[in-house]
Amino acid sequence: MLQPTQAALAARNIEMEFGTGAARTKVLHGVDLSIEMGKLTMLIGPSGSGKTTLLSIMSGTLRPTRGDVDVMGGRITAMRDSEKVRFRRNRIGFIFQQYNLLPALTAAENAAVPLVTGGMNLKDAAARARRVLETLGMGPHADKMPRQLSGGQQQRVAIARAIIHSPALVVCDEPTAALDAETGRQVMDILKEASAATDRAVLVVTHDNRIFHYADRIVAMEDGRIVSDTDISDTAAANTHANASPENLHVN
Amino acid sequence: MWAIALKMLTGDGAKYYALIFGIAFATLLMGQQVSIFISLMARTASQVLDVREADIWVMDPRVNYVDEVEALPDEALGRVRSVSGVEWAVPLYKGLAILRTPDGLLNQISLVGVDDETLIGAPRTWYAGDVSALREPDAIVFDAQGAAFVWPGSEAVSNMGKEAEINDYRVIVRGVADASAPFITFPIAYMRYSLAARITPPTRNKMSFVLVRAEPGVDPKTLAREIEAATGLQSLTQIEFAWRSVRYYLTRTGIPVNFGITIALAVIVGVAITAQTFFLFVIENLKQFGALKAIGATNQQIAGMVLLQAAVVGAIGYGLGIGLCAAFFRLTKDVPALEGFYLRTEVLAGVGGVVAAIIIIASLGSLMKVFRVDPAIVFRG
Repeated sequence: MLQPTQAALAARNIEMEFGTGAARTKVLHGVDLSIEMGKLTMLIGPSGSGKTTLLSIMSGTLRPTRGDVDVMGGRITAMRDSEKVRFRRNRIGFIFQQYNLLPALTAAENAAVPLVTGGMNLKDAAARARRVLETLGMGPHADKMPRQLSGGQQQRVAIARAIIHSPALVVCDEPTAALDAETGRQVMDILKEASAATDRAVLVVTHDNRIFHYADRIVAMEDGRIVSDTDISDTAAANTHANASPENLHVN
Repeated sequence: MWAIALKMLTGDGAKYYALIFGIAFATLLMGQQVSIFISLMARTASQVLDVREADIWVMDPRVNYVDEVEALPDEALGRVRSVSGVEWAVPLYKGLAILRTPDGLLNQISLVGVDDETLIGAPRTWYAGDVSALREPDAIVFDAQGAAFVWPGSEAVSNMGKEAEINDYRVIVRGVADASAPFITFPIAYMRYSLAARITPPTRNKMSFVLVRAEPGVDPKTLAREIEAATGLQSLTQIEFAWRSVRYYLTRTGIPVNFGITIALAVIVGVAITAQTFFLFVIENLKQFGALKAIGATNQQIAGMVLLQAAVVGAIGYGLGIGLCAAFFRLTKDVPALEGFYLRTEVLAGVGGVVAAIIIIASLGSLMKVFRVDPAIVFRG
């Protein structure tokens, strides 16, 4: 098992360009970043700063123009597509801003999807998902359809889906953006607890400064570059950053 | 993943039913039109196929189909009989005549004159009377639909004994029998050859066809060629003549073009509705497929999901469409204009093939999109 603070993910010299010809735009400029186990790392920055692109690359859903990404010892940028799919299925959990639950499935069935893609039948997988949903306080809603759930409840289902297969890395894209403050806090409490596992790292992309205090580490981006990297290991620092914005965070 | 695929498919009821309706409608339209077309073409040969006793039909070389008659001289019968391998040969009269009923109404009828001695060419199934009735003086026998047509409002069999006139000759209904519906939907009337020759307008020749049976062990096809060589007449086996009639209507009339246009429209509408609805169904679920790919579903798994969804809507839509098609023919089986029209096995298979092709094309088009979808799509708002 990996030790606490061991690097779960390391991105080196990541460059990303979109478009062709005159429309070609560089959105990441040689980004270096490593994420450690047992920590909740936040990637913050204004819209268009490249944080979601970096998240996509680090989770193996987007291939960078240049640079390497190692996740749990595997070089994801060197993997074939089929290997990457297997890798994502087994080692990474995803939480999306828009939840991306399948509307035709119940909450339990949605949470079970990673197990089903791994080969388990839907009935058994849903039974296991039900237990995970119980731990997230969603037991009574396990058989409801997504349209019957509030935004916060849907995000909790998404969290259950992200952790049901015990991934080593959970990546979250703006997990509280569509939620009110109280629901956002509940979601972040769950994510914070998930990140406490020594064999798991949680990477959250956000620009919601209401949740910065949940971070163990805050990495700020601007114009495709990391402009600050702050390790928040004590309460004082956390309080300092509770109302922080990317602009007043500094490179550690 | 199959369970998820089916839940995704049925989860959106409106799209699910639109897909099934599209395929069912296309299936119904194609199945019904193709069946009617084939049945109609089969009618062009029905009177040839009804005469089961004869292996070979001999006729004037200019005859193209069964309703186009160029009468033969009487001696043609003897020349045919003289060909080695002929077991028997009998004359058959076929032509149109005007029937006048006592109330003065005129009806054009298709008149068949069968050999006086053997009655070969007479109907096989009788609703009233029997084949011997043809031997009675002035006897005429109608097909059931024809009798009901000539005497509207009456039961076909209730017309036994009724009198009518053909060219001022009295005829009496002595039987009502079954005959396959002809292409030209005149009532079919049977009588002896000699009576038909006597009461129809005088022409130099009367004999329309010579019907031939080959001796046991003699190949009808070979014998037909030998008759042709020996007599200079056109000699065709029953199947050859049936197909010649069908081919004539296929090549010399606008029927295939008209039906072809309707069937092509059915296919186009089917493709347009089905392929487009299915394609849109997949496109609208693209983000869901993207999420599945991000989470770890392989392209093969997603292809299996899409193909399963396509197969399910295809099978249900096809079944429903064929069911409606069968119901149509069932409900209209007693309509005279659609007599003998039914859903044919080959149509079931053919339409099934077309529907499968539509579904496969729609699936492949959709799969291209799904395969190309970037799993990172889920990170975009």
